[in-house]
Amino acid sequence: MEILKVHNLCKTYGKGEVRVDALKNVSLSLNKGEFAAVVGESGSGKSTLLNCIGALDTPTSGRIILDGQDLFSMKEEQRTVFRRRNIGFIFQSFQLVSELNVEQNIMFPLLLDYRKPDLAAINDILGLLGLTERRHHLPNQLSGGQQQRVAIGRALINRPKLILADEPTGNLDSKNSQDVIDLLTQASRRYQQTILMITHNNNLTASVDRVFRVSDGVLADLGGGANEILS
Amino acid sequence: MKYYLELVPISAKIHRRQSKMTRICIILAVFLVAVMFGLADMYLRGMTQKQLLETGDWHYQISSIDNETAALIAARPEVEISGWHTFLSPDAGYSFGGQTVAVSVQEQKVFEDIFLNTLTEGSYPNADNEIAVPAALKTTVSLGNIIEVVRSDGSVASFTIAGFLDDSGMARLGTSAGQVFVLTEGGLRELAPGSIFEQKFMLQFSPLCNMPETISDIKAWHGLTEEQVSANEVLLSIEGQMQGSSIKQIYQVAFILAVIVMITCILMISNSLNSNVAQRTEFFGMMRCLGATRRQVMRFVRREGLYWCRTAIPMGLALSVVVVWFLSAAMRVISRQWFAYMPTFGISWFSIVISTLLGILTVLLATRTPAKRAAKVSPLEAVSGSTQQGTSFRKAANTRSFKIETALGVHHARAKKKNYLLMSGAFAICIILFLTFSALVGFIKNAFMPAVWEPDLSIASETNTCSIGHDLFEQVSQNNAIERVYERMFAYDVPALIDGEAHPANVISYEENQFNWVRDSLMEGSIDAVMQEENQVLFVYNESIPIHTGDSIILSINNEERTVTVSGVLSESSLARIEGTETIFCSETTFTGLTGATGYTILDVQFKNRATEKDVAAVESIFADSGVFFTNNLSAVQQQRKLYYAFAVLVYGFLSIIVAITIFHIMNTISMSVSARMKQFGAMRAIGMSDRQLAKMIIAEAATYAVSGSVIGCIIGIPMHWVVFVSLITNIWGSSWSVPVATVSLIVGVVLFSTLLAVRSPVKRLHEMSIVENISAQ
Repeated sequence: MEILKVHNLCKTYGKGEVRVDALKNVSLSLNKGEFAAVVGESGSGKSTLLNCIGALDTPTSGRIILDGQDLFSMKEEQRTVFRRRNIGFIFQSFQLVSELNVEQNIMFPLLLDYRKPDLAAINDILGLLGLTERRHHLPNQLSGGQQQRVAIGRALINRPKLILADEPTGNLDSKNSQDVIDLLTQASRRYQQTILMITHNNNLTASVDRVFRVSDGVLADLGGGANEILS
Repeated sequence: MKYYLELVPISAKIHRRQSKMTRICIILAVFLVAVMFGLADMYLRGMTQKQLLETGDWHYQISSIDNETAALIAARPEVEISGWHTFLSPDAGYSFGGQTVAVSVQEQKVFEDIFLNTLTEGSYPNADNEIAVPAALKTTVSLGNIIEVVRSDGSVASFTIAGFLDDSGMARLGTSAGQVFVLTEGGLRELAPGSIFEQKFMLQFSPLCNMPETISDIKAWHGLTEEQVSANEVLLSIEGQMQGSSIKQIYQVAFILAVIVMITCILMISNSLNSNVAQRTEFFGMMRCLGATRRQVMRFVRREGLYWCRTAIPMGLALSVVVVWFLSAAMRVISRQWFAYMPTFGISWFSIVISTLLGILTVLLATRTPAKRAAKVSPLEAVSGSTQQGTSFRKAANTRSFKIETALGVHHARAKKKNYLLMSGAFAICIILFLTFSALVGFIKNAFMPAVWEPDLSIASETNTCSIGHDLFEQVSQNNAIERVYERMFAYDVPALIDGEAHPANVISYEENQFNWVRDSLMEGSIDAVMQEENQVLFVYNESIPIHTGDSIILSINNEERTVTVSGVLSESSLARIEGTETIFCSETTFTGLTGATGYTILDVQFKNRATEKDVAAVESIFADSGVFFTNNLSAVQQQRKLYYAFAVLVYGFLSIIVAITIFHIMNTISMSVSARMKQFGAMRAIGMSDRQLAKMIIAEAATYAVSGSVIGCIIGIPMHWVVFVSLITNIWGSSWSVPVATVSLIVGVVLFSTLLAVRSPVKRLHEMSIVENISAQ
């Protein structure tokens, strides 16, 4: 079942001589439960692609359909609510809310939606992340790896249609990096969660289902078999 | 770049937007201090000029000393100008052309530099037969003419006219009435041979010396008595040469105000610099990483503050000069009598120097905390890039009792105690300032504003009877220049039986205006009943007579006993009360019913603002041969009202500045607070926080500061208002203090409204920013 469809996506910055085509007619689609990675050099357009798919940035042209809904045909307030309910984010620098504890950070998207958090679901996620003991800790009382796990929990709590992870292991050591990838893989398998991850680290693509490469704004689908080559 | 501090201008250019608020704060601090001192300076210059033109530029005059003593005094280094002055008043019996004249004798330097007089034509008399006469005589005599001054015994003395005097300065020589002739000492001997006149030795001291000390020394050296020495006290006071002098008082007030402004600005600049530093943690971490010591980082932040002073101080000064010109012009227009001599385009170098120094001091004090904060940034911040904006909270937000956005807003405001106190304190100080200074409004109203019932013109019956007919009242009322006419009927010394005892009483009728004006003095009962019903009266309280509403008074008028009922008791009356005579007010209908009189004893007239003496004369002409006398207070009341307006402009101007600072400061604080957490807001928006929720969160944070600030501000500000009110108003006029509900509501309303207003712009800025931009904001 197709969850995400990106069609002829273009993103251009600047005009005239300073014009930069960050994305050139990018098209891709992802099915439910697929775990895909986007690789590419610095400045190739990976983050721009992720920002557009996450509706954080507006594309110059093209369409993004998530769960049958065109993201950019919605009004802004409507798009925000849609993003809150259907897209989970994991950032390189965690971006946790420093005044909320682990449990509150995880349930943050539900609170924004004025929904009553399901305690069982939170306990389940805390268990999966290995953070049950630290549920009342504030972000500054956690290690980098733990903070990123909280961010994963926050992305999972809504059971969104799509999780976007922007270099989730960029600030972590190799042990914590592997833990995070394992958690994402587990989530993808256990909750049939669609995940699109940007990474620099080719080694991390070993566990994903599909790999895309962005080069100079152009996307190439390397398919699942490419994992072996990249690894 | 040769020195690391040269990075300051480069960094300042890049962070121009972030530093805008700091620069505005410095401009504001310098501007306010310069305006206060500048205005004080202009006022004193005006006063000095006025005094110099009234009395001349002398500090002391000594009488009954010989030439040798005078020469010794003149030789002292403190004495700038000195000389003899002899003045014969018009009563001395000298005349010219049938009119008495005064004679003034002094050296030319005393005439010009001490009495500040000039000649319009010709030269100063320097021969015994030369004379200078008023320019007004130019129509009858010319230069070189010989005139004859007649002595009291009818003999004459002839003099040649050497010059014509500028008539406007004659009063300084000794008389404001009549003509003054100026002679040399020899000329005086010619005019009054053998006579001895009292001579005064005039002294003008150097402004740099301590004049009272110098004169004490002179007195001691030469054995002079108190009677021999008289001082130009007003001038000495203006020049700050006397204890409790006006210059000291005015500068003390300006200094206190300047300190308050400085404290407010220190808080404001410190707040904005703190936010500025918080936004650049990574930069300071990088500096530390590259080897900058804590001291170097502190020096860097201080130098940044001083760098902004380079443009902000001149801008504040320039603005202040223009505003002082404008205010001086406004004061001159509002009250010529008091402020006519304020300079038109005066520049106060004193205010410029002091505000520059205070501006730099403010910036140096304000940069202390941010500099320390910047120096505390760990080099790790740069390495890890973890510029956690709003780091290390100790307690999680309360998401159970509040919605998430409210919980985050309130928590963010209250989590860091020091910051919470600083921010609330900054809100509170504005409220305290406003409440403290708002007591001055009451002071100037009491001090300068004529009472609401104060008439410009009173028309009273010469016989103190009700002899002014109603037709005259009607004619006066029809005059277009009149605002209102209010009349009273009087029955004096009416025998009254009050509570079984006989007392003489004055029965007076009031009309609607007067009844309304005494409403504040009503202790019990009702004024409306007296106005509307017959035989109802108001009684003016007297502690020896226990009378209350509902009691009866029996009045004996025209040999008839009439009973009236007390409908109300007044605490006081604006009319003079004669001890032992009670005062009873009633309506005109009741008065006519009691006495049978239909005319009035007094008509009081209040004119419209632009009325002139011509309008007064027009009203007076209505009463030709009517057996009345007039008391014309128009010009006095108008002057008093103008003085009130002049001070009201200053007080309200100052209060407006406080309100402007409050609004600006709140906007600045909120904007800075938002700027400091751009990244965090970006992440929240990415996760799904809508713009509306974001606005609610910022409002909740700002409202937390505003509410706590208002509470603290009222807790301190209301007692401060009480202190100022009691010392300035209660102690002088006896008015009792009450909680200034309207003032408190006004300033708290302004604070809360500004808070709401302050949120608009940062929320709009965030809304216009894409989330990607927002997350990567520095």
